[in-house]
Amino acid sequence: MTLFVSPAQGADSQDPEFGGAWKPDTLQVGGWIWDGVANDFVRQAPGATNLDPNLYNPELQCHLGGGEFDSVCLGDFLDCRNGPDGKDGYPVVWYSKPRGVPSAVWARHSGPTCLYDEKPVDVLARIAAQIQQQFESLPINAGAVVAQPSPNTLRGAETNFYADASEQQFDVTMLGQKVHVVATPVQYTWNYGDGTVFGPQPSMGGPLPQDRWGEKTRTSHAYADTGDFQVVLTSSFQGTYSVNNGPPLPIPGQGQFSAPPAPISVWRSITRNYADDCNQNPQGQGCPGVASPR
Amino acid sequence: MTAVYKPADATGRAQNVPVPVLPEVAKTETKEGAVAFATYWFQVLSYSYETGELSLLEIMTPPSCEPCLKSTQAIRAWHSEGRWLVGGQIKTPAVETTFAKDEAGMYKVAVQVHQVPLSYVRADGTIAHTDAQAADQGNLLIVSYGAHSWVLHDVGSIVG
Repeated sequence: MTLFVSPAQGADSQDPEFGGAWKPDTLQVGGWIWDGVANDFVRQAPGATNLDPNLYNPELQCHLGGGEFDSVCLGDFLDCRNGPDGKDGYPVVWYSKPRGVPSAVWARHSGPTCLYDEKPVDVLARIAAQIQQQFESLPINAGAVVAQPSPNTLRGAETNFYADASEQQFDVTMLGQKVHVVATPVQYTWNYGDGTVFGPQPSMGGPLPQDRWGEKTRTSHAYADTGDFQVVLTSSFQGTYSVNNGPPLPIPGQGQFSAPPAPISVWRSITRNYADDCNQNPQGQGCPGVASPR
Repeated sequence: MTAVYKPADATGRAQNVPVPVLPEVAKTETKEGAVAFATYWFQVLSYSYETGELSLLEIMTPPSCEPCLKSTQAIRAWHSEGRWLVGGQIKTPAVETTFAKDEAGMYKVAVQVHQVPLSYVRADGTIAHTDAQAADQGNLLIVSYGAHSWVLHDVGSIVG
């Protein structure tokens, strides 16, 4: 996969492309992960969810260790007074290191940003412990279900289903810290209501132009029986969270969110051929005012 | 008197960038040798970013290495027609290997890679673009030893 980075504003059309920094693509097929059992690096399984390749650690801004502070740096101390709960906070600088290199050293990543707690490092650990539960309780919209055709479809015909789930962002307060969550849909499970479940799989499907309705798609379904069914889409979201504008950290587990059930009626179609039209035979089946046979 | 090294800035390209030297130990099939070779390869990559000089890098780099190709294309484009790059220096704070040889004779070396963000300078001295500081990366070099020297086969990213 190739990512194209759009040129910065003010870029000249004569400029060669930017984006020349050294970067073996983390989205490449088969990045490497450390396998502790094999005691070796192994290719990541295709379709595996990408972890954040970095570990993060906050340090008090200007802290030199052992209670010593850099007096010059303190002149630029970030003002973290009056946080979300009216509490005063602490400015921290974020460090990162690649998780796959055991002896890697911490390198400055970003900041300073504010943490609002007496023990800033502890509060992060506590947020980390709670973030999964918080994530699963967010009002994440699983995406609306659209059926083609709808609200009625025909028995035995391919009915195209698709969803329109999208990335969503939330701002919540956890332990007095501002936490920004970004949720991205990654997997979809279709329950077609007739006992058929498709997924979890990575496709949310897509619309078909009307002249192609009835074609088989990755997410279409053909009902074997007539009746009214409730179609339920469950979307799995992956998330990142950022504490007080700190670096985005991965939320370890996925969250499952279901869309409201979408009703669909499956009808049967019967073809009958007639010799006459309704002018010649006004009592014929299907003519105005004539009861349809069961 | 040795000429003084001066990194590139907005007023001009880098001067007297020291050419990386392959240490003797990097010619041996030892753990230290594999580490020294990987370290040297990144020194050469760093040298190419600073100078635009690609011949040494291209000798040591397999054409199948896609990230290498992407970098060399950008280096070539931005070190031509009067343009130059500022930054780009690469440091490798951690280099390590289990020194386990697989059936194909390959060893893996894990490297923490830190690169100074690039600024892209036009021939008239205006800065076209400056990259943001990226987090240090974990890279995995696939290398083998043959004919008294190490050979690079591929470079990948460590994603977890």
